[in-house]
Amino acid sequence: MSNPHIYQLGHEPIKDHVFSPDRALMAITKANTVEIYQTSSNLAQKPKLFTTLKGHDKTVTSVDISPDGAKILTCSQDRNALVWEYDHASSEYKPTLVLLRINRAATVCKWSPDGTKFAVGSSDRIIAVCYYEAENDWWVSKHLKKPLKSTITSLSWHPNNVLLAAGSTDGHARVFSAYIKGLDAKPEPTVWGSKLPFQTLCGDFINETGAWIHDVAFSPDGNSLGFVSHDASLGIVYPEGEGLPPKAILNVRTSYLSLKSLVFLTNSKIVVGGHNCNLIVFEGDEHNWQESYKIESQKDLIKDVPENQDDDEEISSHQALNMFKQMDLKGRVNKPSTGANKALSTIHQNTISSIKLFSNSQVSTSGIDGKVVIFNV
Amino acid sequence: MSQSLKPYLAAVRSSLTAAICLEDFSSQLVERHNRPEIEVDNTHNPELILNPMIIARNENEKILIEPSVNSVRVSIKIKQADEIEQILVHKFTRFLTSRAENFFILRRVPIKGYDISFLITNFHTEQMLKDKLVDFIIEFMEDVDKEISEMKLFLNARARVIAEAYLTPFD
Amino acid sequence: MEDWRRIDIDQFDGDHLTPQELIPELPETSHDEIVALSKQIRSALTSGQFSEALALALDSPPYNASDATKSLHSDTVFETLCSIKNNRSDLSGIIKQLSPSQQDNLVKYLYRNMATPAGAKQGGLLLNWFEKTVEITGLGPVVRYMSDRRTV
Repeated sequence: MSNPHIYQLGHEPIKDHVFSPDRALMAITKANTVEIYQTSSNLAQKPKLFTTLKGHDKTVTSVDISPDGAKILTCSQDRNALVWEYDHASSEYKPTLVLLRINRAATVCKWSPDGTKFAVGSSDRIIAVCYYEAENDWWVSKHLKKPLKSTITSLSWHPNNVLLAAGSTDGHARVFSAYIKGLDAKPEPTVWGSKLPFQTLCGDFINETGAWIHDVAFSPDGNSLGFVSHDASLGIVYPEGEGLPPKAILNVRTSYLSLKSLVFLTNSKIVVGGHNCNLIVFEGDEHNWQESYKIESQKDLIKDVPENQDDDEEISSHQALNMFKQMDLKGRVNKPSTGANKALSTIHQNTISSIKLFSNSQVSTSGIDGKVVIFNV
Repeated sequence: MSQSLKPYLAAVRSSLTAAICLEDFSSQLVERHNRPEIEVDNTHNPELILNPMIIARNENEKILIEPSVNSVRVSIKIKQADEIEQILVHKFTRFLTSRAENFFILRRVPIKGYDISFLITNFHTEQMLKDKLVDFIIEFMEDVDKEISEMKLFLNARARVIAEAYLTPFD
Repeated sequence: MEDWRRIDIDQFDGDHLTPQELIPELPETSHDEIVALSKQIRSALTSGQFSEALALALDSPPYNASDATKSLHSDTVFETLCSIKNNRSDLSGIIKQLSPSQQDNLVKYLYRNMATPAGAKQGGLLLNWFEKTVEITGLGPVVRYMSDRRTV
């Protein structure tokens, strides 16, 4: 496997990142703004900052680029979402108003697979599905309310452009129908159901512990739903059909720290990552899923494995002086360690916040340490 | 009693590493606010608080870890064998808590039943490395015990010297 | 409406989760079942079948039961742990024989017992168990104890 490409883009946490469909543009969230970078086809080169979108008053929580690459959607804790389009005349991105009508922070936003509508999840226990109204040049929303009882943490669209999966802090992963009359064509029947007016609840899943769901994703063919939760487990649901109990609900427990994000590579391969700062690949099918391999080898901090290479290195005079100073100050000796700067043995030094599919064999991740890394899987 | 110190610290380290997995969470109740959910009365949001963990070495030394979605509160009860140690611990913690601003993660008032409390929020874990924070708390626990015993020894030595100096004219 | 300043305005603000709703729906365990179970465990202990006793105790904790029932089971588990520690020295062997969900439950009971005064007195013993368990299982059970809505 070739080495991963690491881009250190400042030191502020990156809550979400997205690449445009042609991979030429990269957008990352940075505090109250969104930075747009131009990538080059040579991935080893660091992307260049193109522009900064400053429209939000509070932390931007999520950013998404439409499937045609023309519109950028951002949402933030100031209860607003904005759709940015590039205006060639003035060479900058201009925002369009979105009427979300929510009273709390927006936590996640996603374009639908055909780019005509998008969904925004919020702390207000509402999902707003928005579509464009040309008469007034704005985006209006329809709300999905029941039976949501807590903050929505994640959304995922089904490939048929109608079904929407939502994970929330009440521990439930739900599948809704976001069919907008007049905008969407009638969808083909799927394993999730056939007659799907707006706000039908097609599925409601909870794992045994009831822990918060951090991320949900539909598989590429739409026949299964994966979710990761705070109890460090990965759940996959295979539905049977409308009104029937699911074919299988599988839950894989791990012994890592809580997982924050997942992405389907293929229908039988999932990459997850989270507070353990490492990516783990799972493989399986409707009978069984299990952990395959870790992308990076990781030193277990709890078990305190000592670094053998430090013993052989010569202790410089500066380090010796430090050693005696420490002995005087603290009353004990600290071994002069050269690896003091890098605390973790993984590339990401802090939690991985989002994972996105980059190509058939690569995933891109962004972390709270300000890094965007493209890994080979 | 140092026999149980290593497993005690190891247990605290693993519990703290698990509890310090925090994320930015905007308040569900109050518009445009971002508050540490562990510090707030959460009768309306019970799902945001996780199960508290107590790790006890014996009845006099224990740690309470209360995790939630964006903040974790760590309260430590320091070993106080007699009245002198109680006074010393009280003065020591007051010294620290009155300078809580410079400490960042220190809470000005300890939780009832404990001697000192830390409040770590997601903003702290974003700026500082989580394992270094955990290392700091473990080191703090080790050092505080040593410091209190040292202070007690010095106190007794000084008291002895003073008493000698005071009583010599009387013989 | 005298004290209108102290109205809890948030209760009117749409439907939130109540603590009742958080408890997952599981079959209720009656007090008698737990009493019978504890007798079974004690007899297994006296006859020297330590790993069976522990496995029995950790198999299906009374998640949906009254507080008295839960404390009774927790005390039974505590007794089991103490007697195993006093009579056998290889805790790791016993822990390895447990299934993953039993190991998760073991960690849950360790935390619960350390919170009680009686358990705190035996802090060293419980911490020993904890150390051995985490060595074998990693941090998974700790994370699951924290986030599990089913409390023992």
